[in-house]
Amino acid sequence: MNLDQMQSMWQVHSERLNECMSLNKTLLHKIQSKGHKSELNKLIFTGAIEGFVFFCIVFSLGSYMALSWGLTAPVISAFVLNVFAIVGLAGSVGQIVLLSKIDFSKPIKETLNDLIAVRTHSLNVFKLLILSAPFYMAYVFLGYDLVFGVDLFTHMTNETKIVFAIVALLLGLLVVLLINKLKPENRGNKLIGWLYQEVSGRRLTHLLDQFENMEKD
Amino acid sequence: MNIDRHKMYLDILEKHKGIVFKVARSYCSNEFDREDLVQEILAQIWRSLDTYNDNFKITTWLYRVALNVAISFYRKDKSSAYKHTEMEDKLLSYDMNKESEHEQNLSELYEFINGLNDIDKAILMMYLEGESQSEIGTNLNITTSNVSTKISRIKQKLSQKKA
Repeated sequence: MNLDQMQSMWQVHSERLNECMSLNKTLLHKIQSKGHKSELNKLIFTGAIEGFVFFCIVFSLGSYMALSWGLTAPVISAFVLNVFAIVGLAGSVGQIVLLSKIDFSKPIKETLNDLIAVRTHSLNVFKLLILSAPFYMAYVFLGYDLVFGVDLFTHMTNETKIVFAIVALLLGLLVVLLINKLKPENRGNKLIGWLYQEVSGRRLTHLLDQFENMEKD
Repeated sequence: MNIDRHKMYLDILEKHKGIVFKVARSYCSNEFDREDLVQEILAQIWRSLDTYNDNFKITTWLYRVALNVAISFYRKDKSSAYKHTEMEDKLLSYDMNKESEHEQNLSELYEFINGLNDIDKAILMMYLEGESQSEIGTNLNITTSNVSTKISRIKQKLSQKKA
């Protein structure tokens, strides 16, 4: 079969399809009334839930800071964590905006670009959020104050503080290294590839592959 | 639900359901994935209905929506998970008996399309529909020469398959 034969067969097939096919309107109506969520709406819904969670964290930490105001380790910790929660909240809102802009009736490459913009956005938000790892002690200081009502920092010896500072510094270096490696071209690495899929979603990673293939050809 | 919008939606689907079927069959080789993709395409057609305007041929617009959905959404292979399950209802039922004389050739044709990458599938489908290379380029937002190169490669693959 050559391409011309294929084309004439396709034309005949297209003409016959209308006779051979029936649309199940009852099922279509049932699916619509059940509120079938398209994949895109599911992503928007997930983004909205994430945004709500971050909003609750920002609100709770803000209330905590207002009620316990002072230059103490737990309040400073709450401030640091609040900055990252605000980044997360802004990221979720940004993602919802980008997803809402996706129009499937645009030319295919444009739609792919829009979806890749969503992927890049979530990746950048993830990079900003993992910058909180070196501040891990902020969680501990805040947790101790909330659960036991104790300012752990004032009870720590200088040696312990130095150990924690060194661990934070090492974590900081690791995070910087990870952020530097978290690029599309390093997806061949198992860990980076896995992270990419987890952060961007398998669908969008697959999409990136498609896009790259198109550029290569 | 707006009644006019719903009527327009059903009219479009009734007249052009073949496009949805052809895209789903070209992008999914098993019927469970195909049914998922059909549902997803129909949902996106409903969502995108407001973007349709008379500057487009309705078939071009439908192809864009259907192909965008098919390319963008990666599906898991459900064939093994549903191996022993019969699908009760389908949105698009296809009576194979009416095409029995062509089914063998059609299966080969779809088998060939299934073996292409997602972008090449889109190009070949639009080519088979009789769209010009410049129209295909516009629908994909790639250059006409790029389309031409891709069609030549598809021809090569086809001749290699024959050999």
